Amino acid sequence: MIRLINQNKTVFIGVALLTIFILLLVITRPTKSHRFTIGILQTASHPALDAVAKGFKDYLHEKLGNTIAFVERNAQGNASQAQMIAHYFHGEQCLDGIFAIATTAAQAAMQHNSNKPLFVAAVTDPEAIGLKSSTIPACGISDMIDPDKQVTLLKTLVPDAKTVTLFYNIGEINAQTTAKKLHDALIDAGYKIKTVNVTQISEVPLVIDRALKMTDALISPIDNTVACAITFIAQKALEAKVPFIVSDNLLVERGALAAAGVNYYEIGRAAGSCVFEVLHEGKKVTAIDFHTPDIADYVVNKKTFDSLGLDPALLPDNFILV
Amino acid sequence: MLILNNISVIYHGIKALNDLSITAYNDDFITIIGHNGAGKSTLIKSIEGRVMVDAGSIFLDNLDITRCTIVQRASFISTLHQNTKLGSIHDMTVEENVALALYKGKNATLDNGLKILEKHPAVLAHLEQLFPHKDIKKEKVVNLSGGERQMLAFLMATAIPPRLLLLDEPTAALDPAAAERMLEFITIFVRHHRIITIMITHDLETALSQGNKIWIINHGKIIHEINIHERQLSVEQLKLMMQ
Amino acid sequence: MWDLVETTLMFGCLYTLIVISTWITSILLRYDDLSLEAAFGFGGALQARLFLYGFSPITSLIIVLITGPCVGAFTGFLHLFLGLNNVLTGIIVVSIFFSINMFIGTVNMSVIQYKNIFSMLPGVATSTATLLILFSIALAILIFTSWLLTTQIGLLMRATGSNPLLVTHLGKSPRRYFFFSLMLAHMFTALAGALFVQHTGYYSISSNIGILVIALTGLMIARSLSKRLGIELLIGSCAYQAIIAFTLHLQIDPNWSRFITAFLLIALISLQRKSDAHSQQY
Repeated sequence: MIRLINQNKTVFIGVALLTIFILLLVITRPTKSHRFTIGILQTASHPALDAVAKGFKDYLHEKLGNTIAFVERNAQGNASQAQMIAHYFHGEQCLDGIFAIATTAAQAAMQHNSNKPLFVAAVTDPEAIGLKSSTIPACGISDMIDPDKQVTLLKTLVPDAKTVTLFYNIGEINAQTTAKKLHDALIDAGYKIKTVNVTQISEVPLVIDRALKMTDALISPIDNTVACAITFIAQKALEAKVPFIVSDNLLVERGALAAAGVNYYEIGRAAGSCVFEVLHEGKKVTAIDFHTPDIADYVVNKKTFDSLGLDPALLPDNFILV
Repeated sequence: MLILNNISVIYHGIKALNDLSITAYNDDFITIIGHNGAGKSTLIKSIEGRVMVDAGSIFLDNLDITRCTIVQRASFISTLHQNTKLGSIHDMTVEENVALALYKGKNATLDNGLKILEKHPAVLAHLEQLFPHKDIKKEKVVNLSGGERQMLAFLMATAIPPRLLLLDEPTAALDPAAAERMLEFITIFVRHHRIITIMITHDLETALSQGNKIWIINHGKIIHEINIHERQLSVEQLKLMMQ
Repeated sequence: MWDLVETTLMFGCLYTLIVISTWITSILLRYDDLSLEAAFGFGGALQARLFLYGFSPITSLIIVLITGPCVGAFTGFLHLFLGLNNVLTGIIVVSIFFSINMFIGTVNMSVIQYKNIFSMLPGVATSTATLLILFSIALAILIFTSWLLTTQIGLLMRATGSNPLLVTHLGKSPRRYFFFSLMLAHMFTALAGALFVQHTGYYSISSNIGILVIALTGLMIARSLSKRLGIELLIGSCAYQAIIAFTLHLQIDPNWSRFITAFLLIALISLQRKSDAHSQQY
């Protein structure tokens, strides 16, 4: 023990560094200039989550004008980065609340003991990650898909399909949860299922050819990795003439064939309304529960549809074309 | 007594040691001489255990050690190398190195590493003897000169006196004064503890003045075994015999 | 703002365990062990699973301490017996334990509902308790390791890293001490992984990504203060966390924090090379 601290120089340096650190923090403390400030922690950059953020900001700007400001941070799909940002948000005095977009951000923001209210969106299964029972004040919107709608989509667009490949990142809990639901729904509908997994985005090019072999359709659940690699996967699917169905409507614009998912922009707006109720109307956070929006559109990519040579007569009128 | 029976070591098809047989008796201090590539180092390495012989057998005091590993042989065979960096741990202190040498033959425990020095005052006395001018114990080995490191290496190799001592050109990196001091110390030490000693040297004068026997190696065989007390030779004669 | 300071110190203390592990492998054994992150994940996955099975926070930590070394044993086997270099060994061990950790901890397990070790100090606020407990654990492991290196076994560990041939001449097996040191290092990292799960309230298969860089940078900062195993490791670890927290505080994009880390590493290593050339330590 004495050997450890006998070099007083070291302990002195340690204490000095700590003091400097605290001083610097105090000096550079941001001053509060808006009435409300919300920290937005986004898990990754892809269309769905970007849309949530936009919907959120748009709604709150409409309702509260310039009295509300946002501090936006992106965890780039990295759990430890999400942790760092979450801890920073919790420690920052000027933030009145934290908005976490998607599961990784929500989990990172969940476990701290500051009393800042936590709003979440695009978390597929809030109960599974403990959001509903935790002691942190939280509320928000989930983006759980309705697997039966996916199956309907498949049946409508590719009626002759017998074998389907389920493609997702086994390392994402939202993907695992929704994949299981899809799997069960597809089995019930009589399809044969192949499963192809990746553990990170760099593995996608290595397995995609195998995934597209000997299958009538490729289907992906809610998966951040697939969302980030969408253009590549969609192109490969098109080259192999395999219909690619996703669970996220915004990915259809990027080349997937079709999706029967939720509207992420609307989810963002709905989350914004939660915040409004809490901040402006003074409602208690726990009084607002988690809910799943009912909105599910069927979206089809016209170009992909035509390139695959599918029969236009199969397209019902209520399907939105992009 | 060390008996080598028909040992052969083959490197890449070449016989570094070619069916070599020889005996080293108790109280022998043997110097080995020979040209480069004659097999001197290989012989030492096969006795040490760094190289396993491809044929033949080695007996030490009637114990067959042919298949023993270096670690197993280390209990009764100590080696001192030419490279002064190999004989000690250079980022530890002198006393830590000596303490390490004293763990030989026992299981290492969680006792304080340096405590064992108290049980071996003789070794500490030798340390004083070898380094008379400094308080060397707490000095880091990396700060010692090459000669000092070799002395330390020798002390470590003999802290627990072995049965057999192998020296591979131990004074090659030392200045003449240090070399002389070292050899003097070695001679007295091995005679006192009755350690069979085998030393490689390139210096023919040393070969003629140290120890009691000379082995001349050529092409993997010992071509001459000379008892220098019985036969007086000069350096020139020795050189001729090496051909 | 004090929250931020507290969090920085908390993580600084937790990561000190991994800094110690990295010191043991990279500095003592001179073996850059890339498989430490597997141990971190393993400790976390096991901790999550043990919580699920109803083990108490302390019992589960003890179990992690006992089983953590198996990762190190595996690394040792690949490196010493199969002769694979540190990169190959690291890749193989990380891959194998990805599957093992996935099996034990699944992809993501929420354990926030279970009582953790940090709420066990009566009368003390959880965040202060967390800091106290993590600091004590870090200090305890530092003291233990520092003491271990003064024992006979410790001297042999140091000797093995420096001159394994000499160790054989001393009649000891350097492999044995290499294994022992590796297993010790992995034990500490597994413990860190378990504490991480207890603190954050969930286990994620991707939570071990990036911890090697954190440990390495903390180690480099520590070594710019002193080369020995001492309190500097804790200071180095906290210093790095402080730097990261500070970059966030200044509203620097977190993406740039990685650039800053790399830059810092280069600067520190260059400075150390210069001072090494001067004093010829290694």
